[in-house]
Amino acid sequence: MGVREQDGEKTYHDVQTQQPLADLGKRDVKKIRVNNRLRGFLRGVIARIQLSSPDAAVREDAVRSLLGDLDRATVAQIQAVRQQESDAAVQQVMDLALAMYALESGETQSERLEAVAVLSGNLEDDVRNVLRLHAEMETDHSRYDAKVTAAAKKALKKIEGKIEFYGFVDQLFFGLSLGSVLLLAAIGLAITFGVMGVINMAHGEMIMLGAYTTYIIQMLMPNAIEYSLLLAIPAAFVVSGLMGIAIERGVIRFLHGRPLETLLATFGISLILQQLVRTVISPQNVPVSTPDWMSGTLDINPVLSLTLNRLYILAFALLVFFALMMILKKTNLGLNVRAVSQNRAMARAMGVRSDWVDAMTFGLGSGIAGIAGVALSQLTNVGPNLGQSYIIDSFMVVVFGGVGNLWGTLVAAFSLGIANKFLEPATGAVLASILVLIFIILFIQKHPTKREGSRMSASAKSSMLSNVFTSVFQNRGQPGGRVAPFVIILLVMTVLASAANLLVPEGSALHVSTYTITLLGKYLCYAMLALAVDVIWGYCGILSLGHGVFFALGGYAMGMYLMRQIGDRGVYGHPELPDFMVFLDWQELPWFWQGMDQFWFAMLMAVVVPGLLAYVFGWLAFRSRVTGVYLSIMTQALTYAMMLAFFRNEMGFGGNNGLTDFKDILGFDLQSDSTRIGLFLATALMLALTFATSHWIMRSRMGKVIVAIRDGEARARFLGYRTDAYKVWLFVYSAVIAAIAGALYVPQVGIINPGEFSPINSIEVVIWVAVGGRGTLIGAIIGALLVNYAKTRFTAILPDGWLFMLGAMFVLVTLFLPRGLIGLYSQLRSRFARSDAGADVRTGAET
Amino acid sequence: MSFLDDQTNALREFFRRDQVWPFLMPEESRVDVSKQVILYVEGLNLSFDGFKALNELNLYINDGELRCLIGANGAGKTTLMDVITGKTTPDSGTVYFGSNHNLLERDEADIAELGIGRKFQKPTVFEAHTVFDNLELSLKSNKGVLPTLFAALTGAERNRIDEVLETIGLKEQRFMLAGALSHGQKQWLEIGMLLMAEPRLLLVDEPVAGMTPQETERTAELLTSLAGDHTVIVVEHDMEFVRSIARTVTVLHQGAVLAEGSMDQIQNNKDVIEVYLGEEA
Repeated sequence: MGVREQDGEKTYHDVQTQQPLADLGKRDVKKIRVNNRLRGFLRGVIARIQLSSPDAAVREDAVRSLLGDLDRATVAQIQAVRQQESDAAVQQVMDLALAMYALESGETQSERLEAVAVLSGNLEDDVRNVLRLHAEMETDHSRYDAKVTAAAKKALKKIEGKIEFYGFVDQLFFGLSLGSVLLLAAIGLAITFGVMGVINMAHGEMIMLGAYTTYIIQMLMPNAIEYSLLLAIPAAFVVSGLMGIAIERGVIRFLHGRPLETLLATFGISLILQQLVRTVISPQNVPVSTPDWMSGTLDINPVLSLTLNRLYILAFALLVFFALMMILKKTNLGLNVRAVSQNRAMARAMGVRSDWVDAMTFGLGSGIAGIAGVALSQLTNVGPNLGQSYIIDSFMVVVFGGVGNLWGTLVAAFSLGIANKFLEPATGAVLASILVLIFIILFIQKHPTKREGSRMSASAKSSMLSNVFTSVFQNRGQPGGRVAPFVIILLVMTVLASAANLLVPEGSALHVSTYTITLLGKYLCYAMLALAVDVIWGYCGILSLGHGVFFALGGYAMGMYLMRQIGDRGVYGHPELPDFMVFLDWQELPWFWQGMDQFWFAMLMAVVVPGLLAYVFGWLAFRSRVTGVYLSIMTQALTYAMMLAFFRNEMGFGGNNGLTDFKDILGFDLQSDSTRIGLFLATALMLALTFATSHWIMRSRMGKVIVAIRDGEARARFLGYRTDAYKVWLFVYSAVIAAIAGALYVPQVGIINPGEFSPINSIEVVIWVAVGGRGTLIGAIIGALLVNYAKTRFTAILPDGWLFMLGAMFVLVTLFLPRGLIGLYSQLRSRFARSDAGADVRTGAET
Repeated sequence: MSFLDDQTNALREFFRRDQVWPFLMPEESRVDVSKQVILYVEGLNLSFDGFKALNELNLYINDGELRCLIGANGAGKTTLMDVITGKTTPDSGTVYFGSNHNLLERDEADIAELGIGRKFQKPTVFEAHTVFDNLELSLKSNKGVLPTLFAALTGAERNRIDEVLETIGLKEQRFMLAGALSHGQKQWLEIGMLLMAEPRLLLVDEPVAGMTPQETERTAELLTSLAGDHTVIVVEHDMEFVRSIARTVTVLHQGAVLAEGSMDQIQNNKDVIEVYLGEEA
């Protein structure tokens, strides 16, 4: 019976005859409620009707949907249509249905065995269920038959073997798909980094720009989403390419031959670009739609289906790769690029305009990154952080594949993708990427010379040249007098501030609030961290972009102690377990939490664990002579891996939330003013102590050896110094300072979480040192204090502006202030000293 | 039972009180030159990407000798030095320092501590250090991390540095940054650094490049005076200079020794003439 509504009046009619049923009122009618039973029944009915459809595909689907519930009537119907069936595929499915029924209710043993034989090796879910039913049948079941059960078992095994195989193929496909993503992301870098030797940390942002270009094009043509991607590819190439050329012309060309500076400046650019997108478009992810022709799946069989978008992107990645290969091999530009990358001076002498070639090459690499962004917009979320998540992976791929070797990049991308996907089921996604990172770190250190090629020696030479340049201008005032004044000023200031907090009444103009004291304490911790980075970077030329690891580990050790001090005052009131463990339903304390309730032990761990990590890492890296940018990227990968690891709840460090809600330290209430002052004073003392120690080390002969290693490692080695041992111990020393800073930091800010491991934190430290002036201990401290003070003030006034500031600072300092503020100061001082003579010369030259 | 016996015997052997464990035995560090030969280079082969830089090279240097190595570019002179100082590992062959130190098993720092000093082709000094510091770093001393941390100059060491400063003529520049020295001065400084280390064997790669004739003369004097107490191997292109110092000259060609002898012998050697002068001979 059907119902029609017209002008608010409902009329009823017979569904089959379409005759209106006039005499029915509302009350006489009952609506049929659709429930699952009815749905199932209807589906069966529909399928049975469709069995006689003229379309073979419809018939096949109909039989397949009937496989789930075969009864006598259905089977009879299938049997009937089977006679006239002409399509082979449909016949096959029908045979399956018949065999399944035969197995279920067949009379004779041979009939059932025959049925098993038909079913054997088939991948349909229903077939597997039926077979499993028979294979696991209890012996006292009425239809039990030993032979049939054995046969069913065998058939099942065969099916499972097949499923396993297709599962493998599926994983392989996912691995290849991930590989293609990595390839797309890395291939532009393979040009800018591999061929040109430029470290472009903003490479990820070129990808991001490409993805946003796709988004904007889709916004502009909402009615033609189908074609938007085709248009987005050239558009993204142009947008990212132009941006790349602008970066090359504006910044990178001035930093030629100074890889570490290039790294910092481009990192600043990446911050600016990210913030730009956040401000102009949106800090949130934006939706990018997938055209219809790219969505859907390609079904190979019931257990294997490949998603179309991944398939397209795989093909696209290969297409881009080979196109690029052609450009480099066959075109004039490619020839010029190869010439410049091999011997810049000679290429110039031959009349190649190397600056033009540089700009074009960089534009090409960036443009390809833009294209990668278009592809990635179809797979992942498009947001301001899109590029960041790919940059480390891309570097890994390029380094792993062999710098300057495009084929290597291809192989590396796919093998890393596949390795990642195959590790994943065994270890979980996060751990898989950590394992891959560790593997690459080991790989780089195993094959440093092969992978680095001659490029490193070239850049090492040029960095030596720049060292000569800077050392000539370096003001080497006798450092002996400098420790005491600084320490005195520092200690007097802290004591004064403390007194102003405790003794001066609130409301007085001289009162310093506890908030300010905590803030100052934080700055001093940062200053110590900067000191640690400076010791290793400024004096030994090892740019560590991962010192956040040691800082955070020290902080975690302190955090664990503070957690244990909470005792039963936590939310759950458990006497021993911290809240998050109770929440995770853990029964007992993990072994590494044992003993952390003892302050001395926790503090020992706070320096021993980071020190040990630094030792192992340094030993692996320095012994196999991994240097320069490679080392920087490895440290960056280290902190990234640690961040991923600490985000995991299973690690037992509170996962995402970290450790917080601390109550007291050594019995003193953490909230009280006097404890805060105590921590502040302790920090100032530690800073003074580490400053004095570092100063003493740098003035000793060991310090001279360290600087000698920075400027001429080979020479130092031929003089008999084991440079790797020096570097390892300096690295450990630096890590321990960072760890102490971290341990003092945590009780003052009241929380430690995995965010402290984030790569950007570690890089930020480097800019503090660069601003203050690397290679001078005082510079690092001043830089850290100034930049952090500026950060506090600036984020209060203009929260969005800070990242722009920070980014600009990276660029400007590397371009115009290579020696930092201290360098500027001494330069000015020496200029004033000779101002008369200098002024004369200058006016003379100008006129 | 016999298994147990074996074990106890092994243990007993291990704990014998009249013997020191092999891994605790101090390494023999004295260079054994009882055969009058300080450097044995035998059957050295090394190829870079198919190019044979060293080809079955054999070379023996006597203790206290001053030997000149000459040869065209790519003859393998610098590569040979790289192998001796541990910078490069050869494909095959042996290098012994004295008859008891296998150099191929050691790294650069080890080899330097054994008493082999090297001057590079391009002068390499520590540019950010003063001349004085450069020499201090080259002192013959314990080069471990901790001893270096606590090292202090003794009076004798100070005198030694002054002495070397005198020898290399950089007394006035002692507090100047090495980076600010002229090319020739850097050459001298590097030679001075070699002298400080008091090596048994000096490998000197093109010492007079960029020097004035007077400086060249002084270098020649210095090198000849060093021979006797030290063994010196000089690689040089400047034939005039080689003639002025050489007693024995070895000619390398395509990674192997072509000829060996006094300067006169070499100049009259048919092979050498052919290689050096080509068809004109």
